[in-house]
Amino acid sequence: MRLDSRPENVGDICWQSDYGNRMLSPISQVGAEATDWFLATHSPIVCEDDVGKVEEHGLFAELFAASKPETLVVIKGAPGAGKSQLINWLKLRFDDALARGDCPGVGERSLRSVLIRRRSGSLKDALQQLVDQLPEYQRYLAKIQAAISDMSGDTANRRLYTEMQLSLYESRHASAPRLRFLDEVFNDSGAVHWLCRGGGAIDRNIKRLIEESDPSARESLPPFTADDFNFPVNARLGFDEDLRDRLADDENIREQAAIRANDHLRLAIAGLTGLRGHTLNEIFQEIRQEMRRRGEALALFVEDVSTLSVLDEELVNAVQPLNEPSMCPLISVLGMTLPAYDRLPDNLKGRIDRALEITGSSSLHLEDTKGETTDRFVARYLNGLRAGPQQAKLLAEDVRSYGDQRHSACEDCRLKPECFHAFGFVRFDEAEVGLYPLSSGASRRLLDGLTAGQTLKTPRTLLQHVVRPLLDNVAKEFRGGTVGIPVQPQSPVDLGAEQDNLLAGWTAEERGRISYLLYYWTGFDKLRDGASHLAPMLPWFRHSNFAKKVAPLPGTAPQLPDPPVPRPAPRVGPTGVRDTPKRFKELIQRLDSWFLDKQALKGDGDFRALLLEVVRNSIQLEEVRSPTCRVQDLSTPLKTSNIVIEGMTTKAAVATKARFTFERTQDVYEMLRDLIAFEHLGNASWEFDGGDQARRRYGQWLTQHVSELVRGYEPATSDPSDRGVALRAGIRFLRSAYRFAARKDLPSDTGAAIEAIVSFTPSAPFALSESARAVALDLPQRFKEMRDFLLEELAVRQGGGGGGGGLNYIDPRPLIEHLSSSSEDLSLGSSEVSINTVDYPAVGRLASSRWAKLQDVLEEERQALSALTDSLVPHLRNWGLSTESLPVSLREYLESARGVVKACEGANESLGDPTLQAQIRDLAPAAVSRYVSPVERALQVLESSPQAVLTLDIREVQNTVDFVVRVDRAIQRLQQSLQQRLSDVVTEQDVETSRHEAIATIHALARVLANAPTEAEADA
Amino acid sequence: MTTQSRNKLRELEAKVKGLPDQSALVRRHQLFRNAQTQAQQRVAEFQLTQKQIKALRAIRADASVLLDIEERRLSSAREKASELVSAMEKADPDSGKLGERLEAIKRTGKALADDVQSNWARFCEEQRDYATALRPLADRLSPELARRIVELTDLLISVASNAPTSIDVAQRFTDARKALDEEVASLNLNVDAPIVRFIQEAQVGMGDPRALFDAQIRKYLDENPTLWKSLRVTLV
Repeated sequence: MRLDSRPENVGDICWQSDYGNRMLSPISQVGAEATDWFLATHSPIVCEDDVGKVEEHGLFAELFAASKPETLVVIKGAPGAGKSQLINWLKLRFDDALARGDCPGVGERSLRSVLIRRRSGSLKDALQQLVDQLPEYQRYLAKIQAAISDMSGDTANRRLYTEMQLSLYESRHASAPRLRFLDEVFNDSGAVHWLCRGGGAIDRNIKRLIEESDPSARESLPPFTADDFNFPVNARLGFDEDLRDRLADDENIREQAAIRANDHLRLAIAGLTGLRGHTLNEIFQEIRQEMRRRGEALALFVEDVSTLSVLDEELVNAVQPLNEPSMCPLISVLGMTLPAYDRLPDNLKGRIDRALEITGSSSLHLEDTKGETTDRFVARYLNGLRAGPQQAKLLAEDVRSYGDQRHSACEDCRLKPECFHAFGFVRFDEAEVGLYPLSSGASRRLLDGLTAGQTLKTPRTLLQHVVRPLLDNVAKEFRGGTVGIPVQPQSPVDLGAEQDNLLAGWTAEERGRISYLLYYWTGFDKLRDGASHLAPMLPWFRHSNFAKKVAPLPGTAPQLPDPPVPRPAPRVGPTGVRDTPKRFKELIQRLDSWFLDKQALKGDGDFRALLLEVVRNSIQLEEVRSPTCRVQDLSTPLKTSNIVIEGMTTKAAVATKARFTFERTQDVYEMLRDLIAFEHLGNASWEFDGGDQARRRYGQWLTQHVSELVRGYEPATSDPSDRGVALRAGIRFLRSAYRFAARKDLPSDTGAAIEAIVSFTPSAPFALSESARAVALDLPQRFKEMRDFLLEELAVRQGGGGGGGGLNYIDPRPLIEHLSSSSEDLSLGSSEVSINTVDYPAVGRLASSRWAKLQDVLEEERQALSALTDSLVPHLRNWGLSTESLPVSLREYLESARGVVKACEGANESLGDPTLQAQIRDLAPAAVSRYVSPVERALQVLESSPQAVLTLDIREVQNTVDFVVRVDRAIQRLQQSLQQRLSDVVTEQDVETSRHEAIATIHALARVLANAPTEAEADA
Repeated sequence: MTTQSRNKLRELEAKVKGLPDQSALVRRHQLFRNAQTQAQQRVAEFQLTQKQIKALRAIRADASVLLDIEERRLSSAREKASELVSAMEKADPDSGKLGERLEAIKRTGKALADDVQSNWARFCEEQRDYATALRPLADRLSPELARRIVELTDLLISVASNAPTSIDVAQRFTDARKALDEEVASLNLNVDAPIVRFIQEAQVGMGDPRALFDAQIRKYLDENPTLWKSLRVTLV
């Protein structure tokens, strides 16, 4: 092993600063990416119960072997004590054991392990994790999903004060008379406006549910205070007058009101989530019943139950032993803070199988006053940091195989002798790990020396307040007169006597730092005693040397490193080098029996482990497009259960996604022989007799079989055609959804169409019919879900190994194929019913949704559209307009309405709605077209196929209808108000008519006077 | 299509537009309505007069009856009617000018009607005189003649107040006079002859005895011996 950051000179740091900051985060580093780091730096934790100490290995063995229907273990402790560390370790051990094929106590059932991490500490996040990890049980988790979605914004505020009102109302009879009507405060619009203000109790409680919080804050709910009931003078309050006066006048009453409100706060928040009472319990029971039907068992790990806020009791209640045979076995490990545990009712505590407490000393062994355990604890982290991210896996493998680190990053460091001499080191087996920039016992002394505010001596305190700031400050060469750690300075007792002697020439800052360096790094309180031990450290801190050469004093040397400890036997897997020949022979013997004698392969786990490494490390997955990244991710982490060898004694796991099958053939036999030799003769290298030939055979085998291995990533349950069906359904859905949401067709150019789908931000389109509205509301979420599915399915990762590579482009071929099909066909494909819902759950949900019957939905929408356009007819007919051509009549209607409004304005009359009046006045021909065109398009759509409804912006049609209705009402009101005045009014037209008639008569007279026949006479 | 329907919105618009200057519109509306009414009345009057003239000319069997005066009167009225049309075509016609022209036309019509009536009255008087002159003679000489005279007299009485407008009436006049004239002719009576004058004077006791020396008179009386009994002569 080598250093990730190799120091050139004394004082150079030997780790990457940013890596240190990242990995020493306040929360345990867990999850798929950080599993190696977690294991590499894990220090054994010891808990306690009423009887005595409980080792972590013992606890794991007990839980893994548990065969009862329910097992409930609570691990309680102060924040930072290591609860989540232990629970994560247990979870990883479960996963590791299952991957290696170990048989759990629940028997043949497939054991599912679910971990709810602390992360942000919000209830919303905790519930979301539960939903995410049990995707196939979505239907049972719908209530939780609903609770999550309702847990923010004004809606949440409103629900919380409503729950408060209900809770207070139900307890009116038990309230003091003066506050009997306090519930009315939470039902009064003026009062709740104040109660919901930013920073008020309601606001803070809602934020607690959805935002990040620190552990100490989670111990209690943000309480109501007297200020919450001290309403502003201008508030419009409508609740009980007597109570109003009392709250306004008496601070004492306000405080009592806050106390009473706080009594109901937990209940109200539980009510807000909708998971109060037996709801969470029922959800778990339903899931467990379904898991039993599927042959599964559940192991539930919750880092910190306090993240579930007011639902902590509900969760304990939900996982308590019921001994119900209809439900699957359940192993629950819950982390709880001490206040949360103490809050549990005694009857619930009585149902807990084991309540273990973990203290700061459990992992740091604070009773070890020399600090050796603390040094080892810190050294694991320092070694992990020096090794860097590329070598964390190696350290993790050490821990998996041997229980602790077996490699040191200091091995090849050329400064190792000076460094170890100055700062000391610890041993893990034969690996020696330096303590720089700490020294033997320094971490323990610094932990004890932390100033007030850091009273809990926990592993987290040590990492966060000692190691992390120290690494940071060493990297910056100790700027200032301290070491950057909030510890009590310890001035040397003989400073006055020795400083001129030893500290001559030192800067003021260096003199200041002696109050830290001497005691905390050497354990001595006198310069005279400790100078010889501190002297070799000073150059590493870029410090001036002592002015006078000092020599080590007999009997006062720093603690020596631990003596070599016996190398622990590996728990599983291959034995050490010293056992190689025997182990090699034994493995070869079993292999020969399997191949040559056609016997069952006994101890197949050994061979599956070898083949697992081949699969894991020999395929460059980033170079292949199939299986997709999504499928690859589904299949990882690979375990031995994914490896199937013909004739193996272990029954092949049914629930595994990927399956790599190795038949009993000559080449598999030879490869296994070579792999056994690689592992046990070459000690994980090809350096053994015949190694070169073995390596070539292995390379040839890989070349010939890599395609088969890649295909093994495909879920064993998958039919190859499933993917095509799923892709076709997804792409067809996206095309229809885009047209529906954007109300236009995708670009005809396929590239542009793909870009449009990828960059589209969907929102729910307006729709008329009930079924179309349901589809519209469903659209945004489903569009994102299906697009994510598609992008993941078609992703081609570039660069980077494993699953962490960036996503650079997608395979566009399925998109090109399905987007080129007829847009008139709205079906999801011809095989909706046969979509594999296990491997493609999102597509399965899509196929069972209304989207699968989009044609019917659009037909219903078209009928609703027809009714909408028909609704215009009565309005037009009412004014004597023919409706043979709706657009023509509508145009005439709007233009006539404009004439009426302009006449009104000329006559100083008003419609009574200035905005509408202005809108009608502005109905120039172009504006009229804006209202008429949607109706024209709607009529065209009604004349064509139902698919045309997809791209019609129905909101515009609705706007036109709404506008006409408003105009109609306004003009009818106008007509009614002017009815009297208009009844005998003479119009200009009347005048002109009479003028023409009079002139015509005079013309007739003139003809008479000319003795010409009149018109009547002429006609006659 | 909409053009076949009545767009009530447009009607409403027009009504609302009329609200601001309703009094002016009403005044103009009324002005035109009045003008039309008066014009209609004048048409009727002129048509009536023209019919009377036509009938008069037929009765008198003289196409020149009232010819000059009619032409003069109608010309004047036509001129006023033309002025009236011009005045009415203005955006805001002057009601005073309209009234003047209408009144002038009215007066012209009245004058023409008066002319006709005077002419008719004169005609009737002539006819009555003629009938009256023959009546006593007819009573003695010929019942048939008397009947013809009565028919003519009754016809005159029935239409005397207003000149006839009907051609039928004119025809009846013509027929009655023709029948009378034929009867007179059959009796060889000439209204201007000496015998006729003598008989007329003798009917009222004023006959001149010297007329009896006229041979024609004596011959007529000899041929009609009953006539003698009704004659009285006065010796002065």
